[in-house]
Amino acid sequence: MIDTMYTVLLKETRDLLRDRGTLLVIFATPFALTLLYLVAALLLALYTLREARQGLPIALINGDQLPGLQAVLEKSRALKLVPAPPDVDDALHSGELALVLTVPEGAAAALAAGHPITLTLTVGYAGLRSDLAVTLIQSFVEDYGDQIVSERLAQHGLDPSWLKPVRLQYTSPPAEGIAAAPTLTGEALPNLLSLLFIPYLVTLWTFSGGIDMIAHLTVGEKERHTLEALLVTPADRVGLVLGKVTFSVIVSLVSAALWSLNTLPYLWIFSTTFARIGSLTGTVGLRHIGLSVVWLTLLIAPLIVMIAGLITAIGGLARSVREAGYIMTAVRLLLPALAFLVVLTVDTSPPLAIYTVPIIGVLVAMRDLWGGGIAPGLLLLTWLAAAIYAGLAIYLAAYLFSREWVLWRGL
Amino acid sequence: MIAVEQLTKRFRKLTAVDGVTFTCRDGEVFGLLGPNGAGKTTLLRLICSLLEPTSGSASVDGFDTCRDARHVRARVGLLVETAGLYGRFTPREHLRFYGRLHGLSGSRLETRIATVLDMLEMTEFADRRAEGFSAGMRRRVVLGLALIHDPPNLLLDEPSVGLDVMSIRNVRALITRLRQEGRCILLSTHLMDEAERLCDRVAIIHKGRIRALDTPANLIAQTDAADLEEAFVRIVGEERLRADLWLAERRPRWYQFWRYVRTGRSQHD
Ligand SMILES: Nc1ncnc2c1ncn2[C@@H]1O[C@H](COP(=O)(O)OP(=O)(O)OP(=O)(O)O)[C@@H](O)[C@H]1O
Ligand SMILES: [Mg+2]
Repeated sequence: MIDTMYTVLLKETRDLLRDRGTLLVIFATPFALTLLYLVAALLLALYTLREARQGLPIALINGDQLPGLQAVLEKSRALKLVPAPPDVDDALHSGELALVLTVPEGAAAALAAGHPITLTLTVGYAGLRSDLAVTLIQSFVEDYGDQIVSERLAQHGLDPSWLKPVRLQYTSPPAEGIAAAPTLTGEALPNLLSLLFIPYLVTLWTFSGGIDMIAHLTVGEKERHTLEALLVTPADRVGLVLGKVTFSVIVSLVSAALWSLNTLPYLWIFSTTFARIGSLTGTVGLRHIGLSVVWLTLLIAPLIVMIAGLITAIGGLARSVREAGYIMTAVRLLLPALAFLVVLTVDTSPPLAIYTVPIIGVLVAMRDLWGGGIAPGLLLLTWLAAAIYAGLAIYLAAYLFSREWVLWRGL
Repeated sequence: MIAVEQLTKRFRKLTAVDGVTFTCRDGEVFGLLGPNGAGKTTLLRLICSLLEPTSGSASVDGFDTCRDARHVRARVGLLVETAGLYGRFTPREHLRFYGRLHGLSGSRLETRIATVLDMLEMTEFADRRAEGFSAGMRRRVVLGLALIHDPPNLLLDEPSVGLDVMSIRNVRALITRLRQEGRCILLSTHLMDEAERLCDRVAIIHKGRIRALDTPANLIAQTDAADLEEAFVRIVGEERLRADLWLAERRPRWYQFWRYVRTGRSQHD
């Protein structure tokens, strides 16, 4: 059995290595994409930097009403105050102005009387420059407001902290059991983000090209008319199936790993650019990333083997590569959707039995591992159940691979 | 030795092989003759346990095709009728791959590969990738796959299809040699002169049944024919003509329309 498996694995590997086109698509696309993202991120950073250095052109109308605000804006190096042109709308349309901030008449008097005032922000069509300018103006106006408040408080001899008696600090409980979580600290947003990572991972894997390989390995032999010669050898059927499954699992793991490289530039942009602009004050930190990857890989491996086995079985049933292709599409749509549903709807402390349900068990365990942690016993239970299902799937594939009605379908 | 006993294979309603009984001894070339769709390929597939019989049994060197499938497969070489190749592999690599699946390895495998390459005159293109091979080259590689494990029983499904004159002569010489080595050879063919020249006995199969089984000389004598081809036509031809006419008359219009939709051919094409 091992001999057969090894022979098949070797043959398929050699076949793939010689198939330049497929190899390129599977392995080079992620690299190309990573490169593309890196270049895009770099360009974005350079652009932001350049704009900030040149100063984003904005016009302040009736600025003399609020000399304090005008002074703050003038001091900023990222913004460039220009006199309002005769046709403001035209300038906003053409991108000559990023935005126009209008101070209402009598603002100074209203403020002095203690009334609130409303400034009008007219955003131009200067793309990213307008967006950057809006973000900056928002923080400046807020600062200006804070400044007025502290002046007022000072007039009454009060400390600014008097206004914010209650503060909120975010922490998470230490993870229980085994946790592979990349801890996301700071503002509350990341919880959902980290949950979505599991469906994302599954999607990545189903799209990474490894599972398409399996269908081709089985139904492809039918279409190339090589299956009959293969089956007339006394080679062990389980060995044949295992060889093909192992090959596709290796390919899919490698390509999924390459694909996940794309996540890194994203994270980088996310944690540098946005954090600096100030819309996200927390930091996105990946602690123990190596360990996380090892745990997740260990956990997902039996799931991948099981699905590979099932697809081998289905691939054997398919009459043509085209039919198998449509089955693959269905798997691609269903599996991530299932992952999404499971991660969002299954309770945080579900009944034990959930961990032994095929596919769902692994997804729940992955979620726990990624989130608050999972007890070692539970992890072992999940893994054992998944390994048993993987074995059953391989056995099913091998069984179907020796069934006459399966093999001669479509021949 | 191959022994077949009341072997029957049904695909849904169609009976492809119908109660076939014969024995092919070691050192004998046994011919299977029959029109297209007679059931020759199905019969060979049953014998190497690629298909399970609906009823009856077959055995190779005493091993039953159902119960001892692995033993049977190890003792049989099948020249697959419509075999394809892996385009990115060379003939040598094909032989190596199939040899390994047959449990050969190391120097034994390599010597065997060299022998087969030599035997089938493939040394010239032994290390060229199979994509773009001519029909005859492909056929020779496939024949090599049937011989790689040096099987005592050979099932050859139309071995000379696609070969040039020289190669056909070669393959025929090879078959004769293999027979002299004491192997049991089952040969399915459409070439009457090939059957007449090579086969010790032939079975004429039509619609899954054996219509005649004897030495070529006896068949010719029995049917009062000049050669085996004429004998074959006498045995198969008339019956087939009658059956076809009978069917054509019976098929309703809607069937003819349905057939046209499915196949794009009308009854008279
Ligand atoms: N897997 C299968 N499923 C359904 N029908 C089949 C199958 N294999 C063969 N048949 C049918 O069985 C009959 C015999 O086919 P077979 O291939 O054995 O003929 P043959 O004698 O080899 O013909 P040829 O000389 O054209 O090669 C045909 O009618 C064919 O359609
Ligand atoms: Mg045939």
